[in-house]
Amino acid sequence: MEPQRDTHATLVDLLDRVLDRGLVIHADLIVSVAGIPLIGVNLRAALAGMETMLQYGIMQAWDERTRAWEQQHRDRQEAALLQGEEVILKVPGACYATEGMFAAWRYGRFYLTPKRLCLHHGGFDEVLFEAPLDHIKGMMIHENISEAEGGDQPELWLLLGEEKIARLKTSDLDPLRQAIDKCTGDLGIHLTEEVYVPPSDAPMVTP
Amino acid sequence: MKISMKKKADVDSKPHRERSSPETEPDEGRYLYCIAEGNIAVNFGKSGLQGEEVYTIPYKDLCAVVHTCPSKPYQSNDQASVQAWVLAHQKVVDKAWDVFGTVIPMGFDTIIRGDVDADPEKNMKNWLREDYAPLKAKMKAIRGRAEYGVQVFWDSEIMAQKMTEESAEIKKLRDEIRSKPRGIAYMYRQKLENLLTKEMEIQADRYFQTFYEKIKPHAAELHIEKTKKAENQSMRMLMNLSCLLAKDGSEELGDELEKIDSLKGFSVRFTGPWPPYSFV
Repeated sequence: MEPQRDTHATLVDLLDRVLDRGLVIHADLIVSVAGIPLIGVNLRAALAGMETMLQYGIMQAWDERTRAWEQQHRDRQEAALLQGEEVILKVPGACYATEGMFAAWRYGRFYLTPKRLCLHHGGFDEVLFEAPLDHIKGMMIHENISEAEGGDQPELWLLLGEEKIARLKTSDLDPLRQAIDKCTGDLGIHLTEEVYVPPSDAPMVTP
Repeated sequence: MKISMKKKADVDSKPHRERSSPETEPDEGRYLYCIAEGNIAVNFGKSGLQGEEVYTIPYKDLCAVVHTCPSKPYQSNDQASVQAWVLAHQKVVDKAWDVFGTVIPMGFDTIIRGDVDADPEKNMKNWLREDYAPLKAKMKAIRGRAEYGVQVFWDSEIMAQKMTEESAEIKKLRDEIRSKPRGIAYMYRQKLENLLTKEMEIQADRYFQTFYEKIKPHAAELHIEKTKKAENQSMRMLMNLSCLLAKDGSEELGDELEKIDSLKGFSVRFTGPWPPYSFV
């Protein structure tokens, strides 16, 4: 069998060699853009796999556009508010949901208004948790959480009706607690801090 | 009036001229094709990318094969023109290989730039001086040798048929399908396909090992390259190797590949001799 050189079939093989291989010399000597040597960039786009393209920054513009779009559209949905409802506090946070397929923390944004507290997921425009303020009977910060139950972050527990406890989480715990305290106070509700802690298998309130 | 204006222009241009580099434009570069073994100043004429004049920059017993270009990469959206550049690159490397005997080829679009304190040729010579020892070592490793591409393809349809005949399990499953009602037969076909895919992977590995062992003794050095999609739909690339051989010593390997090529369902693409792009 004789090796072939100048046929159409050898062309791809040859292009591969010239584009992908050959001696590479240190970048400070050669022309490059932002430290990336530009090696036959556009032909690569036609021949190379995704990995190579990313490596050589070809997908960068596309990636940036996608990110920009995502950024622009992410959480574009604000929680639908009742007319004239004023948002007192808006903080990112989560509630512990025990209904559904499995128990999990669900993340969104807390909206506190003079009437209610709700947790809203902007991406899906979904209300994850909602409680009218006059249903809240008690509130406490629960520090002592076992690893299995979701980490070391303190939780805000709200007592809603008889033995129904909502477990909430946010990094702005104190501002949220104080704001809820003030709002319920304005409604003439006094919150107890003695929230009964049910055993872990007791029903918890879910949205 | 005229005279005074001229004078003024002269005065104006003077500081401007001093600012730029004395010998070359600051944004000038050298497109580097390859490093060749030999110390000859050669002019290859207008044989470079886009008909640029190709010449050598000698340093000790080496020389760089270059053309003068702006200090920016060759880029285009048009695949045909990029392909023409790449082929021109290869032609120059080939020519230098022919003239000098041993070359270290560069990848496409390697452009040496100039600095504030050094023009591109000086930069090039500095690099040749700094990397002289490793470059010489590379020269020694590839001297009198050439690179060949070996790609083995298999016809997936023929192979699938062969496997169906050889594997008792697959054969049994295939026979069962015939006697099943349509709905169940569909599930069986899925099962059969999965089984076949798995078997093909196993066989591909086995053939790869076998062929690799047969090819290995005939090459001074072997690189396993990534397999690519074959242009022909029913063919699948089983292995893609770069082999370093003596420049005129492809006969033995050719004989071995002949045997593989003649196996039913297999075909071999044997390309070269190329300058040793994959071994530098």
